[in-house]
Amino acid sequence: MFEMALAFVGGTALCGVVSVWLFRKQSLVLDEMVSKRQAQVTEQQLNLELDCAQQALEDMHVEKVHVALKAQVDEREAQSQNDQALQQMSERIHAVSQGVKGGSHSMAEGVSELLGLVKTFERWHADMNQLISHNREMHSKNDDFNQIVRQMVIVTLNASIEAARAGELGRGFAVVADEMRSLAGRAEKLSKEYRDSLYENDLITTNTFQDLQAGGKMIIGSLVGLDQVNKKILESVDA
Amino acid sequence: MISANARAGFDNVLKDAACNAMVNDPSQICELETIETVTATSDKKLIVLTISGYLFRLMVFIHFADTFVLRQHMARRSRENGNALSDQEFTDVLQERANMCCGAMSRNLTQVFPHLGMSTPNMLSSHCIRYLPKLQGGYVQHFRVHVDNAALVEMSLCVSEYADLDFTLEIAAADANTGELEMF
Repeated sequence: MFEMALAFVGGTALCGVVSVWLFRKQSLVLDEMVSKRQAQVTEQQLNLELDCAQQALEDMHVEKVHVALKAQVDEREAQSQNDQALQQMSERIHAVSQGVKGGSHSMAEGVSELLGLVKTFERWHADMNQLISHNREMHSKNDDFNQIVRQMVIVTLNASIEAARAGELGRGFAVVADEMRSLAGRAEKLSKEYRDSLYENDLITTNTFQDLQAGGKMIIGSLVGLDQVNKKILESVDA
Repeated sequence: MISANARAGFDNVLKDAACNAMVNDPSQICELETIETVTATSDKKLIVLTISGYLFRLMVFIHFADTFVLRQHMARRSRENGNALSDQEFTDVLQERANMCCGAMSRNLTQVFPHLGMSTPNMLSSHCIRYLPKLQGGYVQHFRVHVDNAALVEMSLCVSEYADLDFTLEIAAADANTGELEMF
């Protein structure tokens, strides 16, 4: 019995082992089959993905070419617009430059004409010099007149003395002499007042003359300065 | 109206220019004494110059008497041997100094007033100064010029303004090459 049990157990164990081995083998085969299948599937998937990736790469390449072409077109267009803008700006600068040159030439002509004012100022100078000379003559004449008047005062004084010496006969003559002396006195006073007026006249005339002269030089100086600025503008535009 | 700053500016410009024009060499001490008025006398004469701008007119009067001291002083700069000047030379030298003075004033004033012109000098009788109020100056000031403590001449400044004047002015360094009758 024991041997039979042992044989049974042994046989069972052996069957079990064989079963297990078979099972494992089967499993392995199955696993291998599954793995192979899975591998196939994976391979297919991978192939599929590879195809997709290749497609995507091709698409990208096409896109890239497309973008590059578009960029080239855009660049040419932008270049063309830039060239146009540069051309327009260049034309505008040229027009402004011509305008500035024209304006400067006109200003130069105008300034040159205004500098002819020098002749006007020289004429004024000559006229004022004449006036000052005339003032001096008036002084001289007044001095002569004053001398005559003073002589008259002395003569009338002498006449009064002689009239008094003549006594009764000289009374009429004394009256005339007194009247002459009074007139001479008034003439002397007027001569002095006239001399003072001449001094006042000298100051006002000289002041006016000098203001004209200085003012004229100021204007000419300003015009010369303007002319120089204008020339510098022309030089910088021509440069 | 001429502000206090502007009056001081005009005074300083005159003082600087007058001293540079009147001294014979840099070692001499020149001072301008402010005086109340200048008396007109028959023995004096006037040299007058005008500086004109858009906004004002400035007149400088130099009152001088024909004295030995003044003639010697003027002769020293003009003649190395110190010989006396003739009457014409004496007045010519004085007018030259007046011109130098006003030229320096004009140059300093162009710092504030870029466009100025100056007249040539004219000689008048001293009695003309009595009528200075007729010029209606907004600012009038009189000075006596002393060089090495000797009073040489008197000067009057008269400014007529045509707009309000207010400025501050730095006196530029004197240029040694200016002088003689400048043709402005």
